[in-house]
Amino acid sequence: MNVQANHTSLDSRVYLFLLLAGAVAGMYARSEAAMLALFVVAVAFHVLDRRIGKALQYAFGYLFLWGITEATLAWVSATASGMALSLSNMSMSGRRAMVPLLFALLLAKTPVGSLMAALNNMRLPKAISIGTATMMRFFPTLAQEYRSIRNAQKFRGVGVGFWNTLFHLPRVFSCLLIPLIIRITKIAEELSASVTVRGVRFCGEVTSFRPVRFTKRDMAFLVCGMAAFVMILSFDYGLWRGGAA
Amino acid sequence: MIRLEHLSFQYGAGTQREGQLKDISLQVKPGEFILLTGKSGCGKTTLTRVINGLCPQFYPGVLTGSYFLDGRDAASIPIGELGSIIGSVFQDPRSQFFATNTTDEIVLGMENAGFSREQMLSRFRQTVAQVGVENLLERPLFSLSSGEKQRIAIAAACAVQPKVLVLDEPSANLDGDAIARLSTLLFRLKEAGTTIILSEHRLHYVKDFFDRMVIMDNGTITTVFDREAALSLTEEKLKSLGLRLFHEPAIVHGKRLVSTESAAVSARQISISFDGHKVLDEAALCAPEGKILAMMGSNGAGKSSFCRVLTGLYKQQVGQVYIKGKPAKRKKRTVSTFFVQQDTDYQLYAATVEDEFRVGKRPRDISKAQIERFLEDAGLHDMLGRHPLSLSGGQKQRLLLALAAASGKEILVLDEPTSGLDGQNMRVTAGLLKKLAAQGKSVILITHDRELLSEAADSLLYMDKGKVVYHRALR
Repeated sequence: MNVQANHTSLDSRVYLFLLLAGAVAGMYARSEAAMLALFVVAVAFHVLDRRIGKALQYAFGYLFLWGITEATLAWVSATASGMALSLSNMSMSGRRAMVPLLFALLLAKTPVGSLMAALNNMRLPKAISIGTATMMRFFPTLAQEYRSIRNAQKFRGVGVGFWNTLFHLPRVFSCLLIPLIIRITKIAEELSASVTVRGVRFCGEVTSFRPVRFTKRDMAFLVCGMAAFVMILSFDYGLWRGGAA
Repeated sequence: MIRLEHLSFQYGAGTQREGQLKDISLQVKPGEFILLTGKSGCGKTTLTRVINGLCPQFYPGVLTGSYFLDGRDAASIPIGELGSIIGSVFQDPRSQFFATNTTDEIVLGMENAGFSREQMLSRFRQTVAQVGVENLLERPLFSLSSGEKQRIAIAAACAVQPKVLVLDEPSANLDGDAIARLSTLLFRLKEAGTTIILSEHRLHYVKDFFDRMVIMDNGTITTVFDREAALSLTEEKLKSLGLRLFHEPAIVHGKRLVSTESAAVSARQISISFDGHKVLDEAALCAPEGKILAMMGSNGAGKSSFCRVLTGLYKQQVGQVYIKGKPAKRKKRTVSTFFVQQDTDYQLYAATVEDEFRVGKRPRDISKAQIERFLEDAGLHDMLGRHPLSLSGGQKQRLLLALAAASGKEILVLDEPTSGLDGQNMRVTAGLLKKLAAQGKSVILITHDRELLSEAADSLLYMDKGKVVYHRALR
């Protein structure tokens, strides 16, 4: 019986560090070119993980959000509309958030035991490893629950069609959020109960069924990723030329 | 193995949970198989939670009386340690998995108990062989069928080799084949000496090997039968106790049904594929007005996908759906049908039951008297001011049926409407479905519940591997 070392090609700590660094870099990037470069670095790790189809989907998502930003900026300059400004900000923030989210998606593929053992090896409190593992578990659940609720709404006459959804946005959101919160709360409670009876607790040693190793290859990719972020921000702030832009 | 003496439990202030326990006394011998049953809300789940330590260590409350496990005072054992003695399997596998991959889920308990890798590997191999999940290893959990998920949940509970296994309605989401496999598995675990506490509404699949049946009502144990005495209870007696039967009703087929022009909804040669995998293969159906059509078949046979095509949630790649004889596009199908999903929490949005009737594209002009009439028909006459999410599972199902009736839609599609319901609630729901059909509605049920089938259905459409095997009238 073979036990695979890992489901992703790199150690979970590589993705965790890049997630944190990507969040900071995404927040501080100033130019479109810098944001695009950060996104390309994050997508490159998905390509490395042989998720080429997904990488293409993310690229389309990025382009879509970029299109919204450009269109709404033109709208803002023509009419100074508050709605256009909000949409522009949302699409910009969405693109910034895509960098850490892409690493979070890779982290979510890491086996829970390996992730917890890896974080334990870093001498982090167990509360952090349980919290991180739970968060990763919730990514697919949230998506699944959202889809189920949107489907169910149609039969109650809520959010049927594009225009109906747009004109009754607050109502559609309220009908989405109430069941979503209820379901997530219920799942969270049942999940907590389930892991509690299975011995997952804030103290005690954790071992990993799969080998957990931080190899030279992992270190090389981590250093490359970090270096890419630093270089992109350096160019963005003009530090490469010896002064701020 | 387990000794409960005058045990009572009351959930803490601020919780409105059903099933408080009152003066429970029960002794369970090592290797014994206890079948715990009773109406919904009678306290079965709370009793299983007391046994596995969740009450009061996770769900706060007041526990009085004594609980001894293997001679030790269980109240003084931390829940994490109890977890290595008592394995737990919950009703809904979706919310009990912490990992996203089958192998990781099975080993999770061992990893957190600090087992060495060699120990883990050895127990992992034993468990996989015992539970028979070799073919499910290294697979994403979300893509498994309900039966497969439940087997992984049992394997995960058994991996730490517990002395006691507590299961809370594990068959609720399973098809006939999966229930048969669950039955074999429980028998094997009993033979291996595991003490089993099974809280269940469905009794038939363990009738050959349970040792004692404990019936609960309103938080107390009302009767304890040994197996012979339990099996000798008459159908009338079981029904009067609100229980399901020990035998599944036989399906008696009538004539083969053919398409008619007067069908409320019909479909011809429907095919769809996902990721290159054919989910529906030239499936056809004809659901007449005023009749109840039941769809059966194993998990993954394509029943839900077929209903999603009929209701416009999925677009078919080949074939055509007709409503009242006319070809219907997706949007038309969505507005003409009412799809009640298995999980009712997805479909209730208002602050009161009364307001639920006014949710929708255009707020419905419906009077309070009309709402009361719909609720009366659904047996919910005194629930007008209640929050919909505070209702029990059976009441939520019936509220959705009342909403479906009020929607004016002629085609109702229901996914497992009696899953997790006791005998009494199942029969009430069956009665309500018959009433809706008598009003001229076309009702399509996805179900694994043979008792519901025998109580309510007019015809049976059986599916396998995306194909319709037959559609016949029922006698």
